[in-house]
Amino acid sequence: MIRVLLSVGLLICLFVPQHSIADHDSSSEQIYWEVDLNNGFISTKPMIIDGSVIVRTSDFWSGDDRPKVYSFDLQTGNENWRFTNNYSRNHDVSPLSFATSSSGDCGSWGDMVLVGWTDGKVTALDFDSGELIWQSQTEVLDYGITGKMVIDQDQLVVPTNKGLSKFCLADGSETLRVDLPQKGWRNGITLTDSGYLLGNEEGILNQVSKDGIVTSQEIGEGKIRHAPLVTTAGVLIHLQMQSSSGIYVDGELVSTEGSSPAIPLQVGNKVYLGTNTEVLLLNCEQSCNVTGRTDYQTSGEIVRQYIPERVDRVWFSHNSQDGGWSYGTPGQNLTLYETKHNTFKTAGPGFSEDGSIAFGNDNGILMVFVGQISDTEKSSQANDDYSIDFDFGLLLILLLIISTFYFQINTKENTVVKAGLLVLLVIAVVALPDVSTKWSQEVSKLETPTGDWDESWPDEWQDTQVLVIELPNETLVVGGYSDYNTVEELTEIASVDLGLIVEYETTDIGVWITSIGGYTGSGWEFTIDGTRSNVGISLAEIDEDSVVRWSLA
Amino acid sequence: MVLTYGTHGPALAPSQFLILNLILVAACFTLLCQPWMSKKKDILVLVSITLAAAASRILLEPFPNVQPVTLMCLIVGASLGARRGMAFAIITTLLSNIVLSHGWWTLFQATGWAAVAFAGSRLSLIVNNKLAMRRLVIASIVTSVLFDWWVSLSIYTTGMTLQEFGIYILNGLPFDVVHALASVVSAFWIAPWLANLISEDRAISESKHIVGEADVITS
Repeated sequence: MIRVLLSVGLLICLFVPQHSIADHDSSSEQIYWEVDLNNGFISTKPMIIDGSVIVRTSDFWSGDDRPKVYSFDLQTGNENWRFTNNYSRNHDVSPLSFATSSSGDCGSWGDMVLVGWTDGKVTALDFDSGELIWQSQTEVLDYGITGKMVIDQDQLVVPTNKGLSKFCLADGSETLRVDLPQKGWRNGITLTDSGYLLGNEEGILNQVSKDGIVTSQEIGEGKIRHAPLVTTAGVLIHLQMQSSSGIYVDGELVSTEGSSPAIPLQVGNKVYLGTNTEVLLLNCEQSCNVTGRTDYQTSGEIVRQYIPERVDRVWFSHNSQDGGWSYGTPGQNLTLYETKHNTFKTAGPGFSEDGSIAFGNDNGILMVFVGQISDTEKSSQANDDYSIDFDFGLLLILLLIISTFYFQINTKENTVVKAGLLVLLVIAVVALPDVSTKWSQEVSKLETPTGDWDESWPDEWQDTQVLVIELPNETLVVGGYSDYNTVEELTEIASVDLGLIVEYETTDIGVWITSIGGYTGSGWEFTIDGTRSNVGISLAEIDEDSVVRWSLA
Repeated sequence: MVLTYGTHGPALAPSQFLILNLILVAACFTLLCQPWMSKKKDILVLVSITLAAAASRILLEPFPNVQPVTLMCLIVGASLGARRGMAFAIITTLLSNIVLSHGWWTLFQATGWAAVAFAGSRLSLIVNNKLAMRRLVIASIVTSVLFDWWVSLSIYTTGMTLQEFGIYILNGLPFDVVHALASVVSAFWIAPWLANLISEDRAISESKHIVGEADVITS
């Protein structure tokens, strides 16, 4: 009987979902709905406006699938409309913008959803119907539009792949185009009194006046992948560098931090920043000083939820396979808000004034909580590196340990052994993902790279990052890269330069490549400097002179 | 490892799949032909245990390398002999891989578990209708780890160097530990029940046979 009870307990605990959404539903009268878009990633925060949830998808596209913008009814989750761009094929990571109906010198317009695409197009969609109102084309070298656009009175200011363009909100006519010498990626624009600020992939901060005059300032060796922040202490840049990042204010280095910086958020004189190891709070009054930091892993959007006199929270996406979203203040423990689908994510949550929240993750799943979220939601301390977030597993372990003691007291030795073994097995299964990852990283140190340099390659590629892709009928090589931290980053960028479509699949255990240039075979394998990696593409770190080689399995 | 290597060996063409399936099914047929199983109940028990083993693989698939099938192979091999034990292993692998995915690795899994069943038949795990628990625990640990390494050979065909294969094996050690631990847990929780089930059935079958002969004598 005891054996049966323990077996049933084990099965129930293991088969119940790890992060049950029912917890939230039962603690309040919230409406919850979710939809699997089956359409790539959600990489930018959804918008909740006037009872509608607007969200966009992104991916490297091939076949018939293409990126879309969706509108859903906030209360029911029913789809209002969708818009497809049949020509955009790369990651569409430019955040959506919304223009309320108004008028200006160049005409009048209704409520519009404004979308920047990697094919260089800017589209204005009717908020209610999703119909195309106007579209304009910007120049495209590699990626088109990937940064945050801003509205300046009756103009939409767009960060392009290699500059900046302005369009009349009423009809999409171009009123200004500025070409810059450097390429940009996620190079959002900041509106200032005198013009616009935007950075680029070469660490240059450009100031563009409203009539197009450009002044530039070199910040450092790295990439500016966010809209610069204008504080009273100066213009703040969180520069992405090789294996680290630097916080610069007016070109002066304030602090060196972890790698893969998130898109920072400014609230008055406070600036919230994040890296793959921590989140930071800076106070920028006279000068910028770090006033708080908490261990955390984030690399996407940092967003603020603000409802006057009710809620004022800053949210950070936890970009790991099992993380949720957290809110709080760096320097204190963050509160982890778990959802049903805690996988990789860079998109911040979207909010409405009634307290509704929309979450989107890298699996393309949109989750919407309608109404005020409960403050009693499941939370945990986000700075525990090895916290086991398997609550049912923990519960089971606890029950089994208690049972073991009970049987011990009652001298049922055989049952003690059985229960003890079950405890060990459950602990082993729960700990396996973390243990195996750490173990693989240690094992990889045993390997000595054999080197993969080819003497026929150009000398200028020496000491740079090189990508080799062995297709069935040819081998493509491209080099001269620097500052990329992982195989995933280098492959993503270099494959675009090679004109190859790379298809990714994000699963609960990470990201992996399913096809390159349309070839799938039995899968794709990679080596770094001639040596197979023991970890996946997101975790496989590369040096400044690494050669990454992809071949069909 | 799944992310890195992304493959379990060469992809098989339909004709190669056919050959693989034929080999495995023919092996089962050969193994089950001799000794002749005339008793329907014997067949029923073997089929039931096989279905249960296949179902357990599918149900426990979310838990990495928790595979009671290894322990079941040992017990079935010890209880029913090498031939039926190996047939049990092959059919269980084929049936469960219909759901879990079938490929080059099926050959290694089927032969691996068949070898475990063979080992079970030779290790005197059941003595005088009683489980030799200590021996069973040691056997389950050793065979679980050896089984994992054998199945890992399925990716060796993709052109790895010996050193790379060693690293691959080394990487899998945490998974081997879980497999071994799961087999030990199965040994304590499942093995006595499974061994009793099979031996009771055989005892009932045998006693009925004796009664029949006695009837003939008295008449």
